[in-house]
Amino acid sequence: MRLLAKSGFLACALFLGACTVQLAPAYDASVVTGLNAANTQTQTLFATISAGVTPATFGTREAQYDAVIGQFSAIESQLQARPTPAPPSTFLFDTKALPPNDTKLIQTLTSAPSIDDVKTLVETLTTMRDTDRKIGLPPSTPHDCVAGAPNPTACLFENSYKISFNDALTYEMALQR
Amino acid sequence: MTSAIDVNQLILDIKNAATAIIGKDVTMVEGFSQTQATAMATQAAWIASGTLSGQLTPDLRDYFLRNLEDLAKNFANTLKGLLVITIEKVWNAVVGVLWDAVGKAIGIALPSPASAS
Repeated sequence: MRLLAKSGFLACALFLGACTVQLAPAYDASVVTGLNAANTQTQTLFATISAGVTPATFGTREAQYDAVIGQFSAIESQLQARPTPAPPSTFLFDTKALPPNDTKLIQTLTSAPSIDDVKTLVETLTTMRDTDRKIGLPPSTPHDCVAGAPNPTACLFENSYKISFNDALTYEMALQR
Repeated sequence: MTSAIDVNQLILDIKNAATAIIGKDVTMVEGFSQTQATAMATQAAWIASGTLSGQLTPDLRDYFLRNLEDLAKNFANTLKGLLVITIEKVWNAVVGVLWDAVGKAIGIALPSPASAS
C-alpha cells in the first residue's frame, strides 16, 4: 500500500513537472544593459546632428556612427546565438480546431522578435550614416520634427530608430518573468 | 497534515492567478501599442509631407516606405512575442496552483515543477 502511494506520488510529480513550459528565451540582463548603453551613445549622435549637418563635417561624426552601428551589430549577433526554446507542437494551438489545418502553415516563434528589430535598427543607422556622408541631414530638433515638416529626413531616421529600439527593449524586458 | 482539495476554491485560485497575469500584461501591451502606433503613423505622415514638398529624395522615400513595412512587421512580431510570454506565464502559474493543491492534499511539499521546453 505504501509502495503504491509512493508510486502515485512519483507519477504525479513527473506528470505535473512535465506540464510547465518555457516558450520564450531566458532573460539576459547583458542584452538589456547592452541595448541601453548603445542607446545612450545613439542619443548623443542624434543630439550632434539635430541642428542640421553637411557632408563637409561628416568626418567628425563618422567614428560615432561606426561605434553605434558596431555596438548594435554585436547585440544582434548575441541575440542570434541565444537559444530559443521550441514550443511543444500541441501546446499553443489546437490544430484540429483552428484553421489552417496544416500545422506547417501556423507560424510560431522560431526566434526572438528582437533580432529583426535590431537588424532593422542597424539598417536605419547605416542608411542614415550614408545619407549624412552624401548629402548631409536637415535639422531634427523637436521644433523641426512636427506634423507636416517639409524636410523630415532626419526626423524619419530618428523616429524609425526609436520604433525599432522600443520594440527590442520592450520584448527583452518582458523576458524577465 | 493533509487537506482535501476544495474544487470550487481551486477553480477560483486558477482564475485569479491567470487574471492577475493577463491584467498586468494587457496594461503593458496597451501602452506599448499606443506608443508604437503613434510613432508609425507619424512616420507615414512625414513620408507624405516630405514627398509633397519635394525635399525627400525619391531614393529616400522608397527606402522609408520599405523601412515602414519592416517596422510594421516587426511590431506585429513583437506583439506575438509578448503574447507567447504571457501564455507561458499563465500556463505555469496555473500549473503552480494545481501543484500546490495536490501537494497540500497529499501532505507533501512538492518541489517546484521543473521547466520543460
